[in-house]
Amino acid sequence: MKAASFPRATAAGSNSREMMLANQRWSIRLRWILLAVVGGCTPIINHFLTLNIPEYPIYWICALLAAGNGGLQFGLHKILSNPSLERQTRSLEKWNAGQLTLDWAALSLMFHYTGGVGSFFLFYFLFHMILVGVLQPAPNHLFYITGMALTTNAIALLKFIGGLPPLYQASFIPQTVLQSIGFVLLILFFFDIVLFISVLLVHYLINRLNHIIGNFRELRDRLEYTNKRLALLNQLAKDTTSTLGFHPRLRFICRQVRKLMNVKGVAIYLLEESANRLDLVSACGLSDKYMSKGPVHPDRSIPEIRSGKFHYIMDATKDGSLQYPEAALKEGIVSILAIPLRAREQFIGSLRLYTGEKREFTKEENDFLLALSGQAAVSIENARIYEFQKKQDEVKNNFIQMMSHEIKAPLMAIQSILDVIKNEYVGPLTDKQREFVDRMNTRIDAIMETSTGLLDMYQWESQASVALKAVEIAEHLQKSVTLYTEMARNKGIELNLRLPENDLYIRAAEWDIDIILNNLLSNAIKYTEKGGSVRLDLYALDNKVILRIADSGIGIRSNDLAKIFTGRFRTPAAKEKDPYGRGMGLSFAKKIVEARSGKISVKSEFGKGTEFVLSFPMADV
Amino acid sequence: MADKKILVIDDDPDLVEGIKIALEANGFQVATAENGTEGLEKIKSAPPDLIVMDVMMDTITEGFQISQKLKNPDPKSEYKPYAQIPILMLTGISKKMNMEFSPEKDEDFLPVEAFIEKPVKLNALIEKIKQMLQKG
Repeated sequence: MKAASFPRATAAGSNSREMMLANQRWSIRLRWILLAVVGGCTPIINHFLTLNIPEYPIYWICALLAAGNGGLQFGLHKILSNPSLERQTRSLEKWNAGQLTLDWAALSLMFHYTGGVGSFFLFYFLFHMILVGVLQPAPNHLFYITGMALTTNAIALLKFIGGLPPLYQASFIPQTVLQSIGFVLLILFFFDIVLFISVLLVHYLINRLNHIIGNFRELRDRLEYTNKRLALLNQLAKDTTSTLGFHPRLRFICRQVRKLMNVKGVAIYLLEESANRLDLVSACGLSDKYMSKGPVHPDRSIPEIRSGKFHYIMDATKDGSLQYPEAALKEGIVSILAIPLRAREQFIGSLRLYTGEKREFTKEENDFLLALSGQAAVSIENARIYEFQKKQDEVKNNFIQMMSHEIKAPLMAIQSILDVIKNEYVGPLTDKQREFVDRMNTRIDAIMETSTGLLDMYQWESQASVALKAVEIAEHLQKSVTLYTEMARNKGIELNLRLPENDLYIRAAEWDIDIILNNLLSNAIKYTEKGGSVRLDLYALDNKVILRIADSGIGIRSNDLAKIFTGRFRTPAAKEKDPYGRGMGLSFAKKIVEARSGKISVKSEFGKGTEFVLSFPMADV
Repeated sequence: MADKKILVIDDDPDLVEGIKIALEANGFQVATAENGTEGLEKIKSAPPDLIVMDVMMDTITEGFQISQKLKNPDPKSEYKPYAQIPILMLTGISKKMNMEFSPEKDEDFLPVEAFIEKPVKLNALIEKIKQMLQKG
């Protein structure tokens, strides 16, 4: 029992047990307090002011009232020990009448013994009556105050005409006044008016207050409920590429819907097109037995929802739409609400709510479920697409790896044999034979270069997502230069690398520099004659990282310069040096540079050399 | 380098023969094996001074598995006496571009002494072998 709650006057007729209990407890409490006040104040007032309030009658009335109150409290305790709530309510009602009677008797006696209209306690009586009237449920309060008014008026008038002894001779109101009918009637009139107006007014106000509180509570509950639903919709909407996998996401939807809609169970079925079957992919609140009841056919199990409408089954055991009514019966399922899941205008499955008792879903609930099913369908489709994409990535990566290997390994085997032949380990060669071996070697080099170039490009272009980070560029430069050192040495070309003192970083993928340098360095060495040089310079300038690759090679004519970055272009001089190259390397390198917010430019003089300049924004580390 | 023995483990017969001829012409003694199992047997029966091994043989990661066995730090391993033999691993798949399923991604944790990416010219291979033997 909410002991601290404010006692409420109820609307007419609705005497709830809780409220009666609260009110009666309050009444008893108040009575104790007032008894103490009256019993205690009387002697004090008499001592300090010589008003000669008749103490003796007051004390024995107080004693009587105390006894009565004690009896009421004990009786209340006994009522509450009764296990039946209904009996309690009826007993409380009777007990209430008892309280009123006690009050009425005590007050009337007090009124009489303290001199009626001239009583010092007149205002106290008024106060007491108002309190009791307020605490009583309608229509008791009306009976009570009417009864009290009649009794006190009667006592006062009887005293006036001499039917009752006046008592309480010493009063602050002079005797003569009390003998004036006009005065007596006036006092009584005001007494009655104040009594009625106060009680009725407060009663009404408390009613209104309760009504408003009730409304407020209801609104707040609805708001909370709506908020929860919106939060779920919002979460689903944000969930497009969430960290949750496919199945965890479905489980999440089931759990949330079950909680929010307060149903027995929730299940998600997804349509497996090829098998024309609805697969149960996730469920919550249902037994394993029910979930493994057998294959579910979309044409036999609630087929109505394929058209996109909700379908409500009031009694699952008797409805023809259901494929397994017996299973539903065993599970304790009574009503089912089937909601279609549609993504991109296609029926992809259904969301089903199962209840344990007959339940109608309100329009508001249906609206929410409609919005939810839309979001859920999108979420599910997204998860599927994402999984498919990941699978595709895997397939693609595997393919590239295998291709790469299947090309390189045999080519190396061929070249190793050619090397053996060329080195005359298996016998001397004629000049022509040597020449042919060299040409074959060159062709193989070209195949290697082209195929790896193509595979690299394919791989690079088709990355789904790349984690860019601050890459320390000098490290990669050094690695690439090391790789080409031997090649340069064999050709008699000087290869130099100049690095700055500090580490420089650019924002790129780990392998970007390697690919770019591979292209540019191999070109530089390829197109430079014996005795020439290739020089790499790395430095920072104006918050940019600059890399210069300069060679003293065959150079590029000015009218060809613009074309070198377009794919598959080769200058005549280049073709002479390397008849089998495809001309893709530079455009690929440019693509990578620009994808990392960099710039690449070229300067060249035909016959003298070429210089490529790359600039990247500096990355924060 | 005349007395140095090299074991070449690779399933490509042309490559193996090419390497063998070139190495022998450079003064090495060469033993060969077609797969990991045969390789391990030959290591036990006639321990080489250096092993040249391909990564992909019977399976995609056979080279790794064999080298992990050889370099097993467990003192009770049957290959303990051979753990110090340097291994030169030939890899066909480059480390580039975040290949999620590439075994090469873990090469940093692999206890081989050196990697060489295919394709590699025989001269370069021989050069590398000489380097490794001098270091050891």
